[in-house]
Amino acid sequence: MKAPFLRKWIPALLIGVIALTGCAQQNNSAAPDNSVPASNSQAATESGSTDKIKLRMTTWSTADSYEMQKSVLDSYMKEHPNVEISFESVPQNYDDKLIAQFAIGDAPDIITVGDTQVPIFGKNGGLADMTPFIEGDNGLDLNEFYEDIVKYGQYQGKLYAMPKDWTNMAIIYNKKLFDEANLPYPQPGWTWEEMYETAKKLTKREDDKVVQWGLKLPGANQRRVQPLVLAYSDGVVSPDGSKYEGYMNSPGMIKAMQWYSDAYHKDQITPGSTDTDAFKGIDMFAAGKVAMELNGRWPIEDYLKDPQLEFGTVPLPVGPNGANNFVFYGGWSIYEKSPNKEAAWDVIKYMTSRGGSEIFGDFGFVAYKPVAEEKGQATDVNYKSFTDDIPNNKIMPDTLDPDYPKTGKPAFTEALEKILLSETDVKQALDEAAAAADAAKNK
Amino acid sequence: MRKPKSLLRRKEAWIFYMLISPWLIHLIALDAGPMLASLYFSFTEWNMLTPPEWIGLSNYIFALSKDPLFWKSLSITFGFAVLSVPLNLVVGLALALLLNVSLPGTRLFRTIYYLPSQINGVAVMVMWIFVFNPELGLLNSLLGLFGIQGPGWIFDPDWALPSLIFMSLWSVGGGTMIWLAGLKGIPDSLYESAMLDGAGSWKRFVYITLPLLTPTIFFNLITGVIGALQKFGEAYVMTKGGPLNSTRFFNFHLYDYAFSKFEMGYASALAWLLFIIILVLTLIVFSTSGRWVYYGGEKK
Repeated sequence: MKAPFLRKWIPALLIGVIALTGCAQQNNSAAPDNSVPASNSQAATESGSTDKIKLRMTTWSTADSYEMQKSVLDSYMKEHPNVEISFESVPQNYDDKLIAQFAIGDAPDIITVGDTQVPIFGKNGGLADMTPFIEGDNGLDLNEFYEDIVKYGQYQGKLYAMPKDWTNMAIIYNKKLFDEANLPYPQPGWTWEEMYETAKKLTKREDDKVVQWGLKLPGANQRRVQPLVLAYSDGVVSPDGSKYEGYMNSPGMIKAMQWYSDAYHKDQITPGSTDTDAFKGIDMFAAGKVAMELNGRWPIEDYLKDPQLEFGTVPLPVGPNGANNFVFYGGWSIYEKSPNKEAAWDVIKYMTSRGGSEIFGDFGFVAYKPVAEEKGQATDVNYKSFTDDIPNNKIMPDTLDPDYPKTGKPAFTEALEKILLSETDVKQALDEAAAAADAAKNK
Repeated sequence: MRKPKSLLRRKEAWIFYMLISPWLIHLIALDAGPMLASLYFSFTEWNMLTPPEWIGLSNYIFALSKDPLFWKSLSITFGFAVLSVPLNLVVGLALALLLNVSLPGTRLFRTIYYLPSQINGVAVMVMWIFVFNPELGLLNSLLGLFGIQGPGWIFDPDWALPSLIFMSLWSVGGGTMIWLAGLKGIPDSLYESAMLDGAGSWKRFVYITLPLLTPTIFFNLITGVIGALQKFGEAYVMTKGGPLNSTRFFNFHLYDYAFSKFEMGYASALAWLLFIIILVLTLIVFSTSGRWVYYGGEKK
């Protein structure tokens, strides 16, 4: 009777057969583990009689995004024939595999990381501090990068990652649907209440069934709800990351979550989970099913290609606590135990500054100022709503509390699930969440 | 022509080890190391990044006395097993009885019922997500034809676990094939003599078919229980253990600690607890088997 147990579980624990939803850019589609083995690098090592430097780099990207990064690496290798980089794509189970590689001391030299991973690995180890390389002979002038973005690679004064690309959030709205309803387009500085009222007017019903929603909200995604949280409260966790009681269930949080609950249940201005499931695989905004959506920059390149779609962007609304936003960040780190840190740094330097940014800047925001300006990040009518909001980026609970994945995150997610499921006592749900988060904290 | 017992025993033992040797080699060469390592880790606190720290029995104590979801996930897992295993046994046997009838087209039906159990894993689970879709799914569309507003299935905390139990019937055909093999092993002569004695079909089923099928019931019961207690994929792929933890199977709980919370030590302890539970349960079923499992060649 042991056989199935062992066969299934021990490898699963060590290699990780299943994915972890960590980063926004990672897709959640379920597929068996098809991580790419490091066959290239092995082959290279076997045939390597020359003194070429061999580097391994890993990413969760696939398809176009992978090819784009590969092309940057190819240009680098053309300029530096003594360096050979094998590029491993791990679209599923990225975190699991990475942690397993850390555990056995065999992680790739260059590691793609997301903002939520920096504090975890910064606290527990795995990534090298880049400060000596930045300040070294082959260094970089950090003033050429947006400080607000660079800081996502920092943890407790050390720099663990340099930015690849990033996006914060904005509201994308459908101009046609606004025109139909005779509503003026939203303007920067609008409030969450105004957005709610606007969405109400943009919600259309036929025989009690909603056929068009005013606004698409991010469901139980606790991270994307943070702008609403911070608009009304001081956040889910205390600034020192030690306490949830009094924060996750503060009066401001209750107000924010009541707003959220009303949007789903009382006025149904946003599609519920069964509605979004029904539209799985369809972009509800592009299909004209929702008039506004809270999103990052990701879909904009596709929307621009759609001649039917007339859209605009506007910064996130503000609340009693002012304006706030947050960033999804992708960056590169150097493995702590890499034998070729200098070489890895040189590749990262190339990718994070002009060499990579010129390519990545066509599809996402980059942090390297000269290229960001050339790409019109701060001036383009659609991008401006995002970039104007950079000063309002707030620190996320993941950074305040490195234990967030096991304390506040599951607790808050469960509270959100309760709120989404049916009209519920918001205060009670948040009280329970705060207690659960603190209990996990004090384990 | 009785052979000395010891020689027969020795020969049987030899055949036994030969037959299980692929598994045995696999265990020793590939599994034993990681298994022992996980036993060690279960006594440590280990996040896979910093070296493991010995904490004695703390993980086990935390599981049994403090972890708010330990007992919940265990009861969800047992609830699933208690309902899905008998359901699969009964439906599997019923199908096998039907497919055992020699009629034109029987072979085709055998294939049809067997096929789903061969198409398994994530692809099937993703398909079932669509079947269960409350708005557009196959199930609620069918119910809609009769004017019934179907439930939210896997999206409703009260229906999610029953939905997965229902879905477990998808692979019932695998068991059916084993039932069929068992049925084929029952000699026709027994049925013929029973018919001469005037036994009707129900009596023949109860007094001949069932007793002679007990080894098959035994096998399907044990593998079914073990499989049910190790449910994971459905929770991972379809429900993420939700909604509101209603499908948080024990193994999903374990996975969550290992890879979302980076507590590999605690996850290892959970794995060993499940191992012990399954071991004890299997031993219990085995120990009762002498009383109800009847092997044809055995002397009572």
